[in-house]
Amino acid sequence: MISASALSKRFGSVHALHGVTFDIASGKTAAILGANGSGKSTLLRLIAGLARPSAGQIQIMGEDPRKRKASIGFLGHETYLYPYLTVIENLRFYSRLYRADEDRVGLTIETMGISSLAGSAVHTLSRGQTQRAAIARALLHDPDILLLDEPYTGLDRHGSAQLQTWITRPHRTTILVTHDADRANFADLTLELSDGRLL
Amino acid sequence: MKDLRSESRAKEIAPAMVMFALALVFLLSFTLPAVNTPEARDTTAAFLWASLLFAAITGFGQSASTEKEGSRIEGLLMAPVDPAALFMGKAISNFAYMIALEMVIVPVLLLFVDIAPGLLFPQIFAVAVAANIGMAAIGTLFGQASQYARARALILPLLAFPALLPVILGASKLTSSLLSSGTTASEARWFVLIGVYDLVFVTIGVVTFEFVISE
Repeated sequence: MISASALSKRFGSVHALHGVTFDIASGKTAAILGANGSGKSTLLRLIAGLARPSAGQIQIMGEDPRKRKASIGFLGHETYLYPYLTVIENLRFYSRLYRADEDRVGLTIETMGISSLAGSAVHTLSRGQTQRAAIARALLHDPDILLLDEPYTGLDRHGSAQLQTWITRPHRTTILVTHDADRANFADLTLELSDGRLL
Repeated sequence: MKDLRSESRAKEIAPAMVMFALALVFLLSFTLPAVNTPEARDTTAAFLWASLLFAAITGFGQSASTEKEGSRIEGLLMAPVDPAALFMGKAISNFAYMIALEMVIVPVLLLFVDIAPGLLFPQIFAVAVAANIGMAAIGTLFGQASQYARARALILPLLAFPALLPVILGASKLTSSLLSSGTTASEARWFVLIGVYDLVFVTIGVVTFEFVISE
């Protein structure tokens, strides 16, 4: 269960989120929709524990998100990949940080269809190929909670169609941020933000 | 290891540090007194450590920016890893860059002052290794802290220079002693000061790194 209660976030005088409250049951897929600047990414960063709320609280299974790092997979606007390391070196590095099985690296690369790119330095990849590698990084430790911010960025039609297959597994709670409602039609529930408020 | 592997391909940090220090050593060597006096040896030691200090600051800033660019520091923060381990990993990389720098600069400077590099290099290198621990710890901590400031290139030296001063002073005194007498016996207390500084700043880094890199 992911619970937000009267969640607010301010950056100086700018209010990015105002009193957002919701519950997402375990194993469900939620889509956070909204226009640019509506607070979607800020909300996802709060859920991930990358930012602290100015007011209110966010809890994952009754705990602060920072205490649940091992169970969270996060894909942000940035890929977090090191450009001069190869795809497999990047994934091995992150697998060690998450203490994931070495087998997971090969398995994830295969699932994401990037086996042929495993030995390529990230800076040589196209945007779409890099995005696949970044999704692989987020999935590497087989997280129970998956947070994805605009995961379709850079993916071709084939990749976009496959995204649901890559990210879905039983008992995984997934939160997907997108500005395109059509791409979130497989979600169990939808949260729509406008000017930092939940509609 | 990922820093060193990445640097071996990108060549963004160590070559810049070496070239910067070489240019400084070359320029400063013109002003060295020709006569082999105690003052000349003090000046040579000071030039060496001033060059290493400026080059190190350049490298520390660049090393920290590799995590800040592309928000890669967030990828590390998201992982269930003790921030102290992140600090130690980054500090060890910076230590390695310093070692690479000194392997080139120390023999070159010794050649400029007409001392066979083989003669004093091991002793000066030992002083450098002791100083590098504190320098790498301070550079890692303040390098990362400065990444959140707008004028980061200005902030890093402003933060790091005062903290590095005792280490640089101690290393300079020990090097000067080596250049004059071939031994550090008369200046051994500076080794103690450097050792204490190393310990203090490694501890501060381990304890505070989490607060430096978090929001």
